[in-house]
Amino acid sequence: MNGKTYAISRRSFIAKAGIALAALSTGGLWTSANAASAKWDAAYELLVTVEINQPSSGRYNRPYVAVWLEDAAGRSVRTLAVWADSGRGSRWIPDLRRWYAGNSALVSTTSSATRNPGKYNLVWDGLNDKKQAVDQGEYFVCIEAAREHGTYQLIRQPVTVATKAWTITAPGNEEIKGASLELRKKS
Amino acid sequence: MNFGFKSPFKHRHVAHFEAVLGTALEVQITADSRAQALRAQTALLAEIDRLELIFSRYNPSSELNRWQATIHQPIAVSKDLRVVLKTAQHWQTWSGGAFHPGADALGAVWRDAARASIAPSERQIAAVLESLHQPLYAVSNDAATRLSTAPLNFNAIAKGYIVDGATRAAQAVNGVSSVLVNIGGDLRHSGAGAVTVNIANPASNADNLGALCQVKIANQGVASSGAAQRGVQIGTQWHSHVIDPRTGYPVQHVIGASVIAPDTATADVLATVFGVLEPRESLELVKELPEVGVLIVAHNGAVTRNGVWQRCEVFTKSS
Repeated sequence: MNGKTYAISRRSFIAKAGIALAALSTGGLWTSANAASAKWDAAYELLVTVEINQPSSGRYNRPYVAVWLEDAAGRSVRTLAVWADSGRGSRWIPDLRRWYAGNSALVSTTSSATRNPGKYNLVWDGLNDKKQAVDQGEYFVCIEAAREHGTYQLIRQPVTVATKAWTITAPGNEEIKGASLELRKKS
Repeated sequence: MNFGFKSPFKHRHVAHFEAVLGTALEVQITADSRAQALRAQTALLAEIDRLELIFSRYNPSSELNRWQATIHQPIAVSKDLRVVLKTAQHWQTWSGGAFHPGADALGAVWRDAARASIAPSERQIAAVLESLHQPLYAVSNDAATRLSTAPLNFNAIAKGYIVDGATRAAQAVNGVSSVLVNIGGDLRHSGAGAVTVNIANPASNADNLGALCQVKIANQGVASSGAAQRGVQIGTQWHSHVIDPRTGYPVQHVIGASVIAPDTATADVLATVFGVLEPRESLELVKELPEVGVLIVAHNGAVTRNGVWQRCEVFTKSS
């Protein structure tokens, strides 16, 4: 991938990935979950820790980052986070509609105790975007990062969600230093 | 998409940077044009760089570190350093020492203890407390004289002070309508309109979970303190990384506090103070500051707010 700016459409990527996956699964390579799949156990949560690569010194623009879950067929099930800056064209997300609601011209911001740079902790509680519990089974944790005049990188890690705790480290790339995934019981 | 209200600006700029003052920077600027918004951002970043060179504890040639290499010598210091030194003295006295610029020495004792897996002795702590009770420095109109060798760290005010300075620098640029600067959770709004602030739950370390609550601010600063993300483990005991400078021991009764104040330097130091005092003490003390709102999360998860905070709180359908 060269330094071209990408007019990336996440939907089109998902569509392409979905078609590819569907083609794979028709060969019976996917063992389908038990016909009546158990729902996500509410005692568990999936922690996704994303660390973005930092240049050797000085400040740098945060890359565009999106983190979401897809089911085994490649359909987007839940978005955990999307960080976009202005000027990225079509990459508006549903949350940004709040720009127009209410009296504020500024997007809502967050106050918290100081956090470490470049490292983000995201938690999936097993609910989809409609706040319904998903089935246990196979999912993909997707982490996408793109820089305005830089590269586009995607991590797409298959995971199995049931009632057994595990930890997976997904290898990094040019934009994302690494991602660590952990299915664990809520404390 | 426009719901019929007339926007008072033409361009909205949002940007995020990492590795600014050791954390993340969020900038929002509304202005008449993109060029003006970018000019305001440039001014804002330059001001952060300028002030970092004064207050940094990492950079050996920062003004603060060079001043700390002297003792019993009146040194001519910049207006910014002088203001922060005086402000720190004021809050140290006002808070009865709950804010103390020499508190790092206590943090070091506990970090060493964590490495050795043994809690520090009463004698070790008493020795450090003794040094913290000495006069630290004297500030006149012209100079600052260091009186003690205790290493001093003003980050609890300086970060907020830098947020204020950066906001001012951006707001001063021609054509700018409003500015929001958020450095690692310390933030300031200036100019037109208002902004909604999500207050992160200090007991949680997830960045995507719902906020504890939301407040709406205009031309004010907000800062938060909290222990969830860091701490020291000694044997089987986990201790908050926040040490009470008055006793030398980790704070136990408060997990964190958030403060709304007229400026972020004030919000910053008060978030530290209210993250140390008992919630009851904090609510009593804050009565002396009629423009300050506070929210405190106690160790058992109980949340208390004062009247000023309640008046800023907003409740939206979507969270």
